[in-house]
Amino acid sequence: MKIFFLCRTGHHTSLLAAGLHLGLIKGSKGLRHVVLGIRGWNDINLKDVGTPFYVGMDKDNNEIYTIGIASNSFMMERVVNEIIKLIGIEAEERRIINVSEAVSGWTRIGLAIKKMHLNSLAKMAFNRGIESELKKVQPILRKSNITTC
Amino acid sequence: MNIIYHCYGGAHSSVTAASLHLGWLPTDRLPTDQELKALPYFDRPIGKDHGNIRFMGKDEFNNEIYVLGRRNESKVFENMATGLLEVFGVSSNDYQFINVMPYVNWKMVVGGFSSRKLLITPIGRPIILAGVKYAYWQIVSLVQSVKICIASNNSIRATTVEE
Repeated sequence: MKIFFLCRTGHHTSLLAAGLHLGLIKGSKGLRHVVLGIRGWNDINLKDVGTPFYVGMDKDNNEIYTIGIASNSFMMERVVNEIIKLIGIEAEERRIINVSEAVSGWTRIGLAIKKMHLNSLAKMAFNRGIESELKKVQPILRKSNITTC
Repeated sequence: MNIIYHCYGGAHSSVTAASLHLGWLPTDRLPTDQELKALPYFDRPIGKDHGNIRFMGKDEFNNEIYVLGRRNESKVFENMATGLLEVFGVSSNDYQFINVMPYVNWKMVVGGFSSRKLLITPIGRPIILAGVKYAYWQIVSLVQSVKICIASNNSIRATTVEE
């Protein structure tokens, strides 16, 4: 099965969710340092938002991806589902978890700054949002029956 | 092959392009108001319908034609669609994503907003019809370009079917 985590960019909140599922993030100790070390964190050109990013394989051999769906999150989640349906992929072969609700104010600010090409400043804002996003992501994963380590 | 015409709301320009592709609209004259209004989905979808890929029909070469309203996320949609094809190991040659937004004019924007967002259809629809007619030859040209681009694929399939 392939599991897709969705957020605004595919390289912030959804990567946190994927990291939690894959066991790359364990607890909140040294959280910021751990997150900054995850491959792909904040490594996004805004022109490439939408392109699926392969994060890794979980213990059940599911392939884990993240996708950026920009700001129209519910509509774009529907588009992801529609494309997959059009390709002819069965429901059992994929799962889609939208964690856009967990995007923090700091990440929104970071995105606005990133659009102005002030990348260092944007990175600071993204890093500030990590803790609050983690708290919001965990209940979404629990609700979706996604295991976390 | 699957061809998806996409625009902001999936209600006007993409529906017109898809209908032209399917031969439902003339290419030697401007369509009448009645012909446009009779098209399936023309000036009908509203905000909550955005994001649904809707099947319009099959063309003469059995290509499936779809329309999609994806608001302002054209680049995100195209990145996502091509990326997902790759992830699932599907050939990108079997799918074409055609953005019709470059041919949308201010009349279609104002008319579409009045008719679909504000739901003042009696005011919005005549403005849209004028806008579609204004952009019509550009959309005809786009669809003809698409047909030429996919023609080589079609001829191969047609030969295979005959054999």
